[in-house]
Amino acid sequence: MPHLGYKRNSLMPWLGLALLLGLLSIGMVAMLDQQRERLQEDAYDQARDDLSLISSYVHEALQNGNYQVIDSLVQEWGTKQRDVDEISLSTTNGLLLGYYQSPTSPVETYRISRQIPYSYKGMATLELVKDVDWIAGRLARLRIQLFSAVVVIGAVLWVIIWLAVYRHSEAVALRERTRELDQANTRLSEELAQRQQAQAALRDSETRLRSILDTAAEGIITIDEQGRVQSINRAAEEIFGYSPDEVIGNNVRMFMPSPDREAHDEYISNYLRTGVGKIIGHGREVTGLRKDGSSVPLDLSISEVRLGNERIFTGVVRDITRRKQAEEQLRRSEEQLRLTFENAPVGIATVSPDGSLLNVNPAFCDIMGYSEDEAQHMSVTDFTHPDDKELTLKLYQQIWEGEVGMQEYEKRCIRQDGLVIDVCVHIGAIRHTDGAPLLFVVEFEDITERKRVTRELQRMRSYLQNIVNSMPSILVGVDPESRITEWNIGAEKATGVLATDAIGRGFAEVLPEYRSQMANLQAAMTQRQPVRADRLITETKGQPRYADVVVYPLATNGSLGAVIRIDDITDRVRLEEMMVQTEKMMSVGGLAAGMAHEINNPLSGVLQSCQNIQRRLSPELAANRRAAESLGLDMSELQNYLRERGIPEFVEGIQEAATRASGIVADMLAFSRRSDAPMRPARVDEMLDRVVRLATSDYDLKKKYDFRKIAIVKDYDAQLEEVNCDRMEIEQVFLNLIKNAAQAMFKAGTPQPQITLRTRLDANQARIEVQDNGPGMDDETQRRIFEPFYTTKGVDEGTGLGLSVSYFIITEQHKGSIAVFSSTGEGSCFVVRLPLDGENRHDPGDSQYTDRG
Amino acid sequence: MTRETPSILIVDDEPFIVLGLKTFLEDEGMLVTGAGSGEEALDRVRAGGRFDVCILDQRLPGINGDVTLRALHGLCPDLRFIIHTGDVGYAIPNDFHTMGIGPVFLFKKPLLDMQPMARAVRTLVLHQEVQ
Repeated sequence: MPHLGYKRNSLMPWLGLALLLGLLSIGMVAMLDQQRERLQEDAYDQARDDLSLISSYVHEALQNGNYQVIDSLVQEWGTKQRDVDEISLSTTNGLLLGYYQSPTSPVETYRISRQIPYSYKGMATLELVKDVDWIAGRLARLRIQLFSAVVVIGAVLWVIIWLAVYRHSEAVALRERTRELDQANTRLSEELAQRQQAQAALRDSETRLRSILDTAAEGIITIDEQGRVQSINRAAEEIFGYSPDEVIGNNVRMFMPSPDREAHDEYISNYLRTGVGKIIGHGREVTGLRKDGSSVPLDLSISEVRLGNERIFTGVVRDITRRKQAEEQLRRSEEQLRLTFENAPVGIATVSPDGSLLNVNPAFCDIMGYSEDEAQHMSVTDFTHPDDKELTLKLYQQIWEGEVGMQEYEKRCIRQDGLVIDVCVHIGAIRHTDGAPLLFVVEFEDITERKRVTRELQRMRSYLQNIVNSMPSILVGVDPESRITEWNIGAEKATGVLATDAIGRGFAEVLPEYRSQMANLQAAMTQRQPVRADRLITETKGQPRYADVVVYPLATNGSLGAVIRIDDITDRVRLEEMMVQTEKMMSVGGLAAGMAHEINNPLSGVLQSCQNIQRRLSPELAANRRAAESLGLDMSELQNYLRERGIPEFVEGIQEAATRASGIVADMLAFSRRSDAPMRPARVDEMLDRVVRLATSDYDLKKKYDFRKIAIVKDYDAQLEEVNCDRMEIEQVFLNLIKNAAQAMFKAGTPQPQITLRTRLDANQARIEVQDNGPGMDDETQRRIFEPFYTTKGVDEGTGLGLSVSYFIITEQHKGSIAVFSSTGEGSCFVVRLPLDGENRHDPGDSQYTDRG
Repeated sequence: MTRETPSILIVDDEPFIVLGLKTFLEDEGMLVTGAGSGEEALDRVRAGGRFDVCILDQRLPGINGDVTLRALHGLCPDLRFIIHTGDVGYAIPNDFHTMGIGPVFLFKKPLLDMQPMARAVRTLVLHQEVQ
């Protein structure tokens, strides 16, 4: 190896040397060129000097024109000179004045010429040819010198380089060798140390082995190829109950029960032949035979050891009786647990902290519709209804963190088939002994059906309750002892007694006004038939009220009871009364229309006659006086007679009676009249003011009362302006009301009579109130006040039709309403409501000349 | 027929009413003629009877008041009318104006006082004179 490196290194100096010499040669050539140029320049300078010298040498002769001398001067000068090959001096016209030629014939020459003055006649040409062969000679010498120098330098350099390279390689090889030697040395000493250690360990292990064998918990037995026991340790003696003396040298089959005992020799020979063993190298559980004949479960492993040509087998046995028992116990308890888990009627799942399912039982699979495999890839939230996910996660979190213990809650899950089911969940965490949570145990119970039934029951119950409560009737359920068991909202509203207060108390106690129904209650329950009581009159706050009462017997679950339905029909009865009244009024109207004309004619006759009688008895009429005079009758005597006999009173009486009859007919006609006047907007306040003025000047009123003594209070709503109405009719109504108020107050002698006229804009209605502080009226009067011919006034004060007509005008003609609010001694208030935009009636035409008289 | 004594025709099927009005108006210094039906009234006018005002009932045997009125107006355009009826639903028909019938007063039976009617008669007579 070092050899190779050495050879490679030896090339380097040669290459270096060649390079160096090359460079030197190039330098040398350059130097020679430079030298030549310098020598040539020297030759040129020398030639010019020579030319100057010769020209000055021949100058005088030329000036003097001494031609013979000139040629000799040239030759003379030429021979004295070295290196001059030829000199010629000639005139411009070709006359050769002097000439010199050297005997040598040089290879290289240098020619130079100059014009010099010649006598007076002109110029002469002096030409000089120099011999420059010496330059070549100098250069050749120089070349030889340089080459020699290069050769010498090259040789010296080669030697130096060679020496340097050689010495370096040698040193490297030496160092390498030294290191190899060191390494070999170290290895040798290590090997030595190891061998010493191994020998020590061997010695040590032999002694240790013996003691280990004897103290080993496992029994160790060695046998030879024939199955004879070679050694047995203490643990094995104890397992089998033999002492070593009884065992060593005997066949090992003594430790075996049948059939192994008989087959063992065969096992060994098989193994020796085929090399395949049942136990060797594997270890297995076998049954051993003790000295006392009992068997013992053993864990046996056998290994084979070769000692030269001989083979021995080492058996290690362990008594596994206790382990077997524990295993059996464990197996049984596990089996029990497994059976419990698998046959549990509720779904059970173990859940890891991250919510993924670990194990689920078949019941869980049944409930959720997932197979066990599917479930094991799922998380708790996967089958939880989206709305319940948050709750679920929160609960898991709380349990995990130990905030709460085992929890029971209900949630909805989504089955594999998409069905939403309700489940009841029990959840708890299994913890380490230190309290750290390990996993969740979650129990699922499908309560969908239970929930559905409960919901259905609740729905049905609330449905029935709704029915019961939405009935306007009072519905009371009672038990056979007439104690209240059911009390609907209708009953609460009607009585003001809450269901919670009523239930459990006696029927007659809570509803004393229906005490009379106790007999019916009993009758219904015993006869099992409904019992009715129609238009039962009771009294509430002094007001008569009407009710239909039906008692329905109930027989549920064998026990008797009843439901009492009470319908307050007061309003209906009132309505019926009202309808009867209206009908009465309508029939009066129909009758009146037919009668009016027939009655009015005779009344006309009566009234006109009265007026004529009065006039014709009067002395003021000229015709009367003339007639009396022609008969010789004294008018004043006649007057006295008439007064004496009360004739004017009779006539007045007839007149008044006829007038009243006429009024009755006119009022009655109001019922039959379909007013023909069109509805027009009229200001309510103006109508009231006009009526007040009218009342103030009303002759009938003035006759008996002084209307001006009544204080009129006007409380008008500025927002209420016009209503669409028949002004005449409405004014008639207002007048009626005001007159009635005035009459009532005067009759009762009310100390400071006052009528308040109040208007209000009420939604889409005008509300007009006429309130007095008079005697008021009792309920009976209030009920009948609008009835035709019902009057509290004397025969001479009114027809009893005024308010009936008002009622007709307001309700029939104007689709409004009129009502009275009053109580005895506290004045009365009539309230009229009129729709603001009363329907426009058909305009039958111009009636500007109509005088309603 | 002089202007001082207005001439009045009363048409009514109730003689007692005719008598009562006749008596009153005569006492007022008027000349009064009575007729029991529309036909009778027309006969009187056709027979040359000249009247300033006719007091006309509506419900009459034979032709009714309105028909009588139109017929009388046709015979005697200057005649003025007062309608005196017990029919509460009665209204003066529109055509009375378009026919050029002068002002018509409407009085409803029974009259509690005959004085207003007497004034109405005078007003109509005055109106006629002005024309």
